Amino acid sequence: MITKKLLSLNGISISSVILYHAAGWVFIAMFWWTDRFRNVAVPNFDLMGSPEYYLLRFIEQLVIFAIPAFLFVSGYFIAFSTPKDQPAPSWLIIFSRIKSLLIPFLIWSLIMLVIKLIEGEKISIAQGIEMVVLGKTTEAFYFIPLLIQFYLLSPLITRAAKKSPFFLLLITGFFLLLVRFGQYVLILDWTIPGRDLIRFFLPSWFFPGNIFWFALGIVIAFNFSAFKERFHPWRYFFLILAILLIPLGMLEWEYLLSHSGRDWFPPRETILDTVYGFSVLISFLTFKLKKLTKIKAIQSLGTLSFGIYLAHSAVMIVIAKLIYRFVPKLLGLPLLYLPLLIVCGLFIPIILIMITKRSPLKQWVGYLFG
Amino acid sequence: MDTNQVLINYVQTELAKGRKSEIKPDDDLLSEGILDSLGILQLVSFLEETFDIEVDDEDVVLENFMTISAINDFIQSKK
Repeated sequence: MITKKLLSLNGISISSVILYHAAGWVFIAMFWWTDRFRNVAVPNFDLMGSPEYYLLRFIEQLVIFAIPAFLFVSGYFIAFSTPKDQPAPSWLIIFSRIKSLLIPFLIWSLIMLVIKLIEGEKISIAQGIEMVVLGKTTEAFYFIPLLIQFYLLSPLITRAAKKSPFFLLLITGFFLLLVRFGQYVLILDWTIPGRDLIRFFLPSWFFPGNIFWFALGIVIAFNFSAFKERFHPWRYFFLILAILLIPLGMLEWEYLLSHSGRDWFPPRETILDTVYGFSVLISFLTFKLKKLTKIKAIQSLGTLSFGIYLAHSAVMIVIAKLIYRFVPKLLGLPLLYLPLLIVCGLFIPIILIMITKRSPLKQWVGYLFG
Repeated sequence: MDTNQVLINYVQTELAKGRKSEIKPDDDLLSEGILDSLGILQLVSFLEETFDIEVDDEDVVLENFMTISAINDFIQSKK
């Protein structure tokens, strides 16, 4: 049953996002806050190559399918919103969907700006506006401007998906690969013709780099029976490919890092990561997964995923900074610090949502948490 | 409680989340912003558990979920 699978996929994806960002904070502690638990100058990269380092890299590599999965589910919803006898969803539905994304996004972006100002960051009004519009108030928020672009483009995409789905996937897949290729160009500092043009397409909030996942959701939703028939025999192939791509993706990143001329920087999605994300999605859709879709906790996480997504960044930054200030020794214990961030990043937003639902603010819960 | 009322109560408390104070059987749930991508997934699970029906993949189309009345008709057709 596809709807239960998608709800579970959303639950797994939001947990993955939390894992990814928690790992990011532990990397910050490892390299930039090292002076809080050891007598060294920062940044300090002594812990590169340690077991903890590879554990964090493994987590990042494992969960990199999360954003493609969210976009896929959103595309699936747009296909659902398109009447059978119409080429596209109505603008009324699209604008109403954008409104319900935009209001909580603006509220949480302002919260993030306030946190930055309290921390002493100097942000002009123009900078603040740009940060909000492009989803730059925190690392995770690029996703919402990106999704809004997809909703605005959805009448075009659904038309293309109904008329020539293969062509649509070909074009969007080309853009996806072009943008991923661009990461290699920048990381390895290749001088190639059209370098500036490629750079133009790279920002994560900009639609070309991820439109494939949204289009894939629409195309598969419109042709689900045909998709199942065609891909079901290949399910073990995609599963094995996904498993193999985890260590290969880790090796690729180490190669890129060592040839980048830099000590360390946060991972960026590469072509191998993209193939991994695709393989995970296809495996998820083609295996039955009956036991998984019966796990209520995962389904519940799925239903709260947007609210958790919005709130987790603010929660994590506050927890990380509190630990930095008051319990710095914990920063040097990644095996304790990481689970603490994961638990707080996941459960504090859930508690906030539950409290809001039971408080006089309950009529605002949709505007606060989506 | 009749099916319409059960549906209205569920949609009001779990899906509308304060976006609309009163839901009527013929309100367009998508255009009003009540039913979103997570909402439809949640609603299908709720229907299966509450009304003991099986919602097939092919049943998850706009026409069956646009309004409370449409959902009610869909449930009756499945019983």
